[in-house]
Amino acid sequence: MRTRIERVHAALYAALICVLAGSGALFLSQFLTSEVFWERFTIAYLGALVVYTWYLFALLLVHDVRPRRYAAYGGEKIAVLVPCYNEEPALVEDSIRSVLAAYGNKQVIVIDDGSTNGVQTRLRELARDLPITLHEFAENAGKREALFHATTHMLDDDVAFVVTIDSDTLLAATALVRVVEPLLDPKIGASTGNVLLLNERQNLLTRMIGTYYWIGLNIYKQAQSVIRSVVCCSGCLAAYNAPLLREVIGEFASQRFLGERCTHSEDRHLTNLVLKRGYDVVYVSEAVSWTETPSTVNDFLKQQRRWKRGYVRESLFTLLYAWRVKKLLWLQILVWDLSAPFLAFGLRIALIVVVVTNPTLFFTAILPSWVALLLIRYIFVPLRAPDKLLGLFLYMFFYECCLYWLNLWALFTVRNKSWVTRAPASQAAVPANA
Amino acid sequence: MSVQQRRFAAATRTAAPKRGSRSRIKLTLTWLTVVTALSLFTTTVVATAAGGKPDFAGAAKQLPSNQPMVVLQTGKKEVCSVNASQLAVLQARFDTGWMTVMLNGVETDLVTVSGATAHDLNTMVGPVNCKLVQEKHIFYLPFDAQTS
Repeated sequence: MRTRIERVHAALYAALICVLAGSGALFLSQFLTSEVFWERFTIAYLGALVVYTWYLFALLLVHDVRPRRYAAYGGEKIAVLVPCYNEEPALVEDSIRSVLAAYGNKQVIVIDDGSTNGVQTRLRELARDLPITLHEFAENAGKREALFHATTHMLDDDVAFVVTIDSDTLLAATALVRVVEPLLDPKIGASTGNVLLLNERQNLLTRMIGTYYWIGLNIYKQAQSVIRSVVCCSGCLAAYNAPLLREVIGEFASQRFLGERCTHSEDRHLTNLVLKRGYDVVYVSEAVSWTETPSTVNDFLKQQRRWKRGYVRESLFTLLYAWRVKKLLWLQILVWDLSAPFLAFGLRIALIVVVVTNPTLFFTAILPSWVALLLIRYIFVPLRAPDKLLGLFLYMFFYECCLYWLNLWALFTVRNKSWVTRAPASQAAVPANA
Repeated sequence: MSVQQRRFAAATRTAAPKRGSRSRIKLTLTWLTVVTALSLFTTTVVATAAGGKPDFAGAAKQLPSNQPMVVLQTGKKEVCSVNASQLAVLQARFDTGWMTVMLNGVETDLVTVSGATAHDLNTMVGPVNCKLVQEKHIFYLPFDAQTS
């Protein structure tokens, strides 16, 4: 039987499908009835785009004029959790060594999540030679279970902060102290760091992904950080207040959505649970980490399918609590993050119709205005990271041709819990009532 | 963590944005560029929304060219095909003027009728064939990639 929360989730999910259908219906209305509704809708959408763009830049201006400063790290104990599943042995070793080389009073915990590629042998050798604690799951249980086990069974009593990193993440020497410093403010429950790509110059795709990360971090996360409501503490480098993490970890591990147990997008859900309790979440660009990104379109799309599903699910989750604790966040999620991609469905169809029926109009009017609009909206890219301009153009086309449509795919497969790039997780590791 | 290590960590702390005059000028110039670009963006979007150009010729092309055509500008803009006697009734009852459009390379006069709607025409002169005038907008793609 469904709980009340699950019924609310179902209602919101249905509303989202109605938004999508409404956008399609408005597009059709110009042929079936009158153009008036379609024109008004387009104008309203563009108006919302203008307002949102000003809002975003106003937040970035606040950040530039009054950058936030935090108290200096005072030697508090930091537990670093490194869940690992079938990672390349050399990469995970580099990752662990970078954690050990980073400044800070650390407890390093590596959890092997039932790997089958032989990485355990290397991890056992490292555990013998280096000051790390290794825990091995007999079979793959999932990242949530790995974090749950480490938090509930392995943390030292005097740990003040918990930092989670991916097993392919390398940390800068100052990354740990920088990322935990905001947590010295008792109102801040979590923080996340900057992620750079190790393989950005590998090919055009990785250059594009580099731009995608740069925009996500330096525009969107930076703006969210001004209102202390970063919606996702990246799995690559995130820090949590330890008592708070202990408080939420049970709810985190047992998350369900529309009757299904959730596996992927654990970083976004953990952030949601922190925000839900009224704590602030911030982004620290000075806490630098490096990670590998998929270098083939197929792998990138697999990753994006997982992220987009998590995006839909967690945005719906945010809607239920954010009005109580973070009104600006609620508004942003409702109007822009959640509704806009589905409202824009009719506009995307209109674009396809124009490309097919009037390519001259597309190339002479739409494409130039599209590029101009893009350059204006992402003017920080040419101003602050001009080397990413090529990636921006690639991203623009890739988004329109591929990534946008994954939002729709994600909407209809939101209950799917496949990790896509991982083997299916066992459900036995965490008690149902955790 | 020893005091020495803490000092080292503090010493390696990433520098906060510099407050020198050069960086202040750079920041000011950056934001002047941003505000100018955003204002341009807003102006063009608002102008697009407010100032669509009515395509009278497009609507007139869909009507028979051997009959007089009238342009209704009250409410929904429409171009209607009428016969000579219907046109005379309209000219007697409403303020009329004229405009010229290019139809298939030929300059064609259309009679503008102020204050009349398609409904008025139907009740006064009987059924007439009308076509809605489309507004020509600059097309903006509402690009907003989701990056969270």
